[in-house]
Amino acid sequence: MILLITHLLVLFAIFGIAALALNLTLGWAGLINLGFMGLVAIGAYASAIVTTLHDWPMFAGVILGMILAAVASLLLGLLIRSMSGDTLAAVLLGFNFTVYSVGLNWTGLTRGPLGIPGILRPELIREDRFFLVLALALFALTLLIVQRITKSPFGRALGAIRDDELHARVLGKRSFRVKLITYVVSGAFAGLSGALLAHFVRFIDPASFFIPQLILVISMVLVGGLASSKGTFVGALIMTFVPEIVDLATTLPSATVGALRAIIFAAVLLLVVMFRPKGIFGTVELPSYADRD
Amino acid sequence: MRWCFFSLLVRLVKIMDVALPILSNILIPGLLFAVIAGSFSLIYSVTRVLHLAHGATVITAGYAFYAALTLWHWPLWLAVIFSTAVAALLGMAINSQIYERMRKTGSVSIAGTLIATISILLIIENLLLAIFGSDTKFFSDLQGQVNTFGSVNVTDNEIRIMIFCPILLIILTLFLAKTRIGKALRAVADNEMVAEVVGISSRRMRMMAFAIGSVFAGMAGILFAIEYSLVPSMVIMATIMMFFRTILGGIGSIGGAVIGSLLTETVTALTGWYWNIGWVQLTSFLFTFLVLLIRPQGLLGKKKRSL
Repeated sequence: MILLITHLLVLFAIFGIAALALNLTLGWAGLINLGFMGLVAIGAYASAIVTTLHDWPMFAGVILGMILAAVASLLLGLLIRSMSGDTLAAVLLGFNFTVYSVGLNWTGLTRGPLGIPGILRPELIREDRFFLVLALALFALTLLIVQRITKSPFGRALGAIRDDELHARVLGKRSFRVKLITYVVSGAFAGLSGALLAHFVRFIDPASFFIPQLILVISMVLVGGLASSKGTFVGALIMTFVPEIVDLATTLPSATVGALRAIIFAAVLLLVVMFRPKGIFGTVELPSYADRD
Repeated sequence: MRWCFFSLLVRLVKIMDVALPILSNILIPGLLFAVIAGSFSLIYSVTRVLHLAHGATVITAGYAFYAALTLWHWPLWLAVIFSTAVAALLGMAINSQIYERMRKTGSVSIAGTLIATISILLIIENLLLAIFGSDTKFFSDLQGQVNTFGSVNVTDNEIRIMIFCPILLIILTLFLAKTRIGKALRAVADNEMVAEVVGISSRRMRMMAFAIGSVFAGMAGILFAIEYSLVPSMVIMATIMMFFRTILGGIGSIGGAVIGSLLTETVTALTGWYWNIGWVQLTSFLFTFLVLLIRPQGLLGKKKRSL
């Protein structure tokens, strides 16, 4: 039981970091970021590959994962500049899909569908409870940084751009630059959570970073509320522990339990979007696009 | 002179030998996805809902067909009607229980419906997984034998696809162009407010669009299931493929769905021919992406009016 709770708490911290990063783009910047798991995957694969194949220390691998994910996020931000609405959603989903597809097919680098097993952890955090300390510390640090960013003048400019880009630009805010910086920060934290996940689970494959996980992270953000760090904390807590009830309460075969768990968090997300789109602590509505006819 | 003509003919036959199999490889999935993307596009243009769960409707129809035919041993005609009806009911239920409710509470934004529709997708995929299991369901009887025409090998079902899918597309186009309901649907798609003024209930027309679109998706789903067999993870794959093809052609037009579908399959076939079949998902997406960089509204899409 203690082992299970430790395990879940680590997952809570790791997915909490991911949810905070997603909230930066989905909540504060108002970008419907369906490509998010692609960034997490880049961070995870980068760290997994350099630590298992090239004997880098975990610390360096994590940093590399963060940098690569941030760069990918920057490039994505530059490419989607002129897009909006459905096209934007398709392209962002397509980015996620592209990373998935590369992960499956570039077998020389990623071992394809077999995944990368045996990802190392340093001696100090080999045990789960020590890893938990690291993960929680990084989660707290992320929370602090995100709060600092969003409470700063930069964060207020970001909110203004999300709510009314034209007016913000008239007032002299350089909207594109502000958004790009946000994407980069979000990408870096996405990479961090991916790298941590790789070192915690010690096995990754392309299917670890796809639509179900995307829905899980989105549900954490939306249950807690858009543009609210406190909300994301609570949302991550709820969405980590509630689906586990299925595991504990039933004796169904594991494949069915997996399906049931996915159904639970998808259903929670559906209900939240339908009946309380602002979530528990949310302050803003989901992004909608003014240019729809 | 005669010799020259003869060598030309030989060369032509040689080219056809290579070109025809490629052409059939493009047409079979291309036409199938044209029906799926076309019905998705119809729903979008009338309701303005990006109904990604449409891909789940397609696969659910396939599973309903499997249940009726293989598990319950129903006759073929009944299984076809049953699975089409399941598709239609599923589409209408999703519309009335989810999208219409979201419309009523005013929470119908792009991002909201998008997240809702992806959640539905995931729920249906996992329900199929829990009910039918993760093993592949085959329809080897219905796939039929391989027929050889010159250099082309096609199964009975592939011939069926090449006959039925164009017919379905023509029916859909004629229905929208000629019938009373079709015209009302287009009126709502064009301008909901004006349509309401002349007495067309946009709510009813939205329901109609979901019913008709899902029926077509159901029929395509049966052919899809026979052709590619069934696993639950196809729900997401089929949806993504449908989505990209529609966006490439320009969402909201059936012609766009056909063009987007056939173009993507051409890229797919060329990738398989020159590189490796594993990379087709990537190349077809990159192709779509490049087109979208130049034409964000898709090939046949109308440019959106900006306020």
